[in-house]
Amino acid sequence: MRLLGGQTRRLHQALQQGQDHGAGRVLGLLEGLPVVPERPMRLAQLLFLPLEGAVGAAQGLPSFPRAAIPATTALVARHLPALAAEVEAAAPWHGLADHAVVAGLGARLWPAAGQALRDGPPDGWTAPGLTPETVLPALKLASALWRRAVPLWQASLAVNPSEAVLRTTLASLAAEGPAPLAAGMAFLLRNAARPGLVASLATRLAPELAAMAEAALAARLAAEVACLAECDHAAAMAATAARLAVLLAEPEADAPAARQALVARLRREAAQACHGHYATALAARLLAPATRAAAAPPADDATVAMLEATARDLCGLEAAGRELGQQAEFERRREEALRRLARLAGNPAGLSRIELARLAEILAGPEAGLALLV
Amino acid sequence: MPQPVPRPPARPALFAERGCAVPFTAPLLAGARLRRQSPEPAELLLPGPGGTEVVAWDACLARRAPSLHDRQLWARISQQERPTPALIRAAAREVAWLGYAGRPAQAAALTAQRQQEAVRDVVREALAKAFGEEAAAGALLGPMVAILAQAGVGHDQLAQSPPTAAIPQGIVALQAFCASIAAFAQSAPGQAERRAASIALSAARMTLPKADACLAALWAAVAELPPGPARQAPQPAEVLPKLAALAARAEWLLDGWPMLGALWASADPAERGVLLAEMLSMLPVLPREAEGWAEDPPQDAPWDTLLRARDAVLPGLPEMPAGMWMARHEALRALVP
Repeated sequence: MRLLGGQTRRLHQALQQGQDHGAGRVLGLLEGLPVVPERPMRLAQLLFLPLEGAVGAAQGLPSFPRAAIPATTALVARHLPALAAEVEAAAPWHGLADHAVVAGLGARLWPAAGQALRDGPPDGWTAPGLTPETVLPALKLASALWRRAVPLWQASLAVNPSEAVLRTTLASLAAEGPAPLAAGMAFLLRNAARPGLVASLATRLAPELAAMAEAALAARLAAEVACLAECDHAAAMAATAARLAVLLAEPEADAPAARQALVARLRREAAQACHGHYATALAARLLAPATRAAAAPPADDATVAMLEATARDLCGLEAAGRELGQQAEFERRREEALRRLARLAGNPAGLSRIELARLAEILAGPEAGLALLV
Repeated sequence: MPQPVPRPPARPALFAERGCAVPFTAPLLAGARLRRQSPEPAELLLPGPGGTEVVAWDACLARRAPSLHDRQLWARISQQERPTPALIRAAAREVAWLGYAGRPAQAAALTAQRQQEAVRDVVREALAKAFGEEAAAGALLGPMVAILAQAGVGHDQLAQSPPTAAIPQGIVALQAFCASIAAFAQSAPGQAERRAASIALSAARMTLPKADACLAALWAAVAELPPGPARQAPQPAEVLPKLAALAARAEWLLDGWPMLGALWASADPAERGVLLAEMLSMLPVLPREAEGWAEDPPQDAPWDTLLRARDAVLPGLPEMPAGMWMARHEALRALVP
């Protein structure tokens, strides 16, 4: 959530007030605040969302010059004034992360913009600072991508898009020409859940895209695996690992050998990272506090809730991590943890035997919990 | 090889055939109902994609991964000769009190138990006042207290905010559910969501007046008993079966709704559209037995039409990691102890 300037100032003043009075005012202010999205959905942002792969693209890829965005947005607004006004009216309340709103407005805006500019800009139209030789092909590219933007956007959002969906999407882009196909492929390689399949399918349609596709794919996969290092919590790491399990799925049989090797290496690295975090968090955030709580007088509700939440997060991380590899190592750590919980259950004090059995159940399933109760 | 158990009809004839809702926490036991038709062993009825499936507990143990909580609950309820919603509630409360559903559910079970004891005290005191102390020690009032412990003794219960006895609590919760889902049905963005909401709303609206009428009839029957010393008090055999039947009817009518109401109330408003499919698969369908129990109110749709509409909107249970599911259902145990 982002606060507007005046709201920040009033919140600051309220926090400086006396404790009770100030707290009441802070709550009142927070309740009355509109939530300002991190990436507001202004007309230009929504319009150029499907052109993400083309705006400022690397050399060799068809690109749309960033400097042409304001003039092109104004041109579209001139053709579609009601729709443009509707998007701008929604902008303060919705961000590009509101996928349902983006999909709903985009489904009306993109095809209409594509149709409006199908025959190019009106005579005499220019984008400041750009020559017609630069801007006219860019406008043609944008128009083609907008016409195909709805399936492109849907394919980029799907959790696990089917081969048929990706093939149809890419084929429809290819029907618009080589440049829209390359730019659409770049968009999907950045965003879709199965970029390896996107690269293979696009390369089958246009073999000349192979080098570009493999380079973009390698960059995307490496960046995604690097995200694991930024996860400081088991739940976040589990979510990233689950995404990686789809991203790093076994490449197609006809995928280049270099990609096969890259995926295998990244899977190994990702699985190791997940297991490393699992082992550390299991020891430091579950077993150590559980041992302390078990030795002390009856644990308070907050401690038990924290232990159970940690066990739940670790169970999720294990499930996601095992999809990537290191199954035997996960198994070994988990068995060690269960033995440790069983030892604590043998002489329960601060945590009851049932509470320790519940931790084992949450971590490893009901059979593991049952073993602590018999 | 054992013969497959035939699927039960979409609309049961009797409540005993519909079974009692059991608040299991394992995902594969979602929406379970227990029925026992002596001398047959107890069976579980589980909603599935093709309709309700009848499953033996041994099969559940092997294939449906019951939680520690579920095993404990089953151990207590499977031996009951004639399971009823009140008996299952008591067993579930005991299991939660032992800590098998976590600390919040444990605390809620303890509070609910104390509340029920307080209701018993109020009922005992009211009946002793009406019938005299001698009668209070006699054969009439003990069983009456047991019957009325779930109902309270009059409209004071419904006037309390929130009510303390289980049946008035269930009625108030169902009223709140009707109001909330009616508001949702009016503002839901999609047609499928609006249709699903109106199916759930119709089912709730067809149940609520009957439960309300049974409770009112129970309170009226108690109020009509002739007051006075023990020798003038009515005979237990004349009174108790009628009171027990009215209380049981209200219990059976409400069975399953408090859990659905809590699920709905605790859901993120943004996820309620998705939740409706799950709720429709667990909708407590009113058996034909209940048709004559109270004067039917004006209905949006008769049950058979409603069930056809439900099947058309494809009810189903969500896919969710087991740990997340169990946490959600343990949280419900804390809301509906």
